[in-house]
Amino acid sequence: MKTWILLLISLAALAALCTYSALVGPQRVDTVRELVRQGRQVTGQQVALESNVRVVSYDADTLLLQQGQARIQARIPVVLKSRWNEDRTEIKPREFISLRGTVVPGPAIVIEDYHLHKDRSFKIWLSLAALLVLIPVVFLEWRRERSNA
Amino acid sequence: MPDLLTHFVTAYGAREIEARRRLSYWFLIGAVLPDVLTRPTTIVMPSSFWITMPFHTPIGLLLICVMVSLLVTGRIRSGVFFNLLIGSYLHLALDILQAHIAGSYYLFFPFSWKSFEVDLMWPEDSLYLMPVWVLLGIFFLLRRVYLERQQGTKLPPNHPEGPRTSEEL
Repeated sequence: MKTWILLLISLAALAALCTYSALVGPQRVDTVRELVRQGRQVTGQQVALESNVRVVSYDADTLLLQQGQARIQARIPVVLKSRWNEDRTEIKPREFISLRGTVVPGPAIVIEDYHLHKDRSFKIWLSLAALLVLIPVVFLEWRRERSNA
Repeated sequence: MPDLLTHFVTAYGAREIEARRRLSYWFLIGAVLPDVLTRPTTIVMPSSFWITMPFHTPIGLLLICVMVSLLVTGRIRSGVFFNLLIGSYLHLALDILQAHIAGSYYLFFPFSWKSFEVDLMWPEDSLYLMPVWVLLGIFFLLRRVYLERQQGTKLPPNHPEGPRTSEEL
């Protein structure tokens, strides 16, 4: 009986956490990094960068990106947007910019998160494969420990 | 997240290295638990991110480990709880080594919405190290086979170098 009560309390606490997160989480945007989660709407020119772009640094004023040896400095306001935002809006770039050290004009830039999103897809498949390895390993460990008990 | 293979091999290696052999297979399960609980729904339905996000936080994982351990029999309960918890916290420790341009990990949830990471590597970097993980996994596997052949199973169950017993789990 005590076990079931504890189980119910834990379940209720977890449900409360999930509800709190679902209700409050999307409103918590206070840094550039957090803007990505929100996929906030941008105004003005929207430029999506090709994949394989790395963000070297960013602060309140500039965003420094790199592709290979080419570096690009972008002025603010910069809005980062994730491929994986809540409504899964894929960015449809109106134009791709040439990364030859150009300074990209504002007023807004959208860059696509997961600069190597092709790798992300691979990563998902790899993780599924890892699960296929993990399940028999865990099963064998369970059997081994049971036989030793 | 580093991929699950990285998490799994790291946990497997930690388990093999841990001298007192207190880490059971529940530790391995714990090491992949946060991603198994959250990523499938996030990938299929990205809008569920905020609903499942607590499953990838220390407090949420603590509650889940409590729940799972309550479902097993009393004798091994504490072992299951601690192994799951340590495994899942190892997962979080590996995750925060990454750098994202988008969001990171809400380790202090629900007390704070500040997200945190160490920014040491990009998420895909673990893929480039894949051959290392595979070799490490094979190494630990061969090491175990070698040690078991050396020691056999004749040692008493409670011997530090002997096989684990259910009490130790």
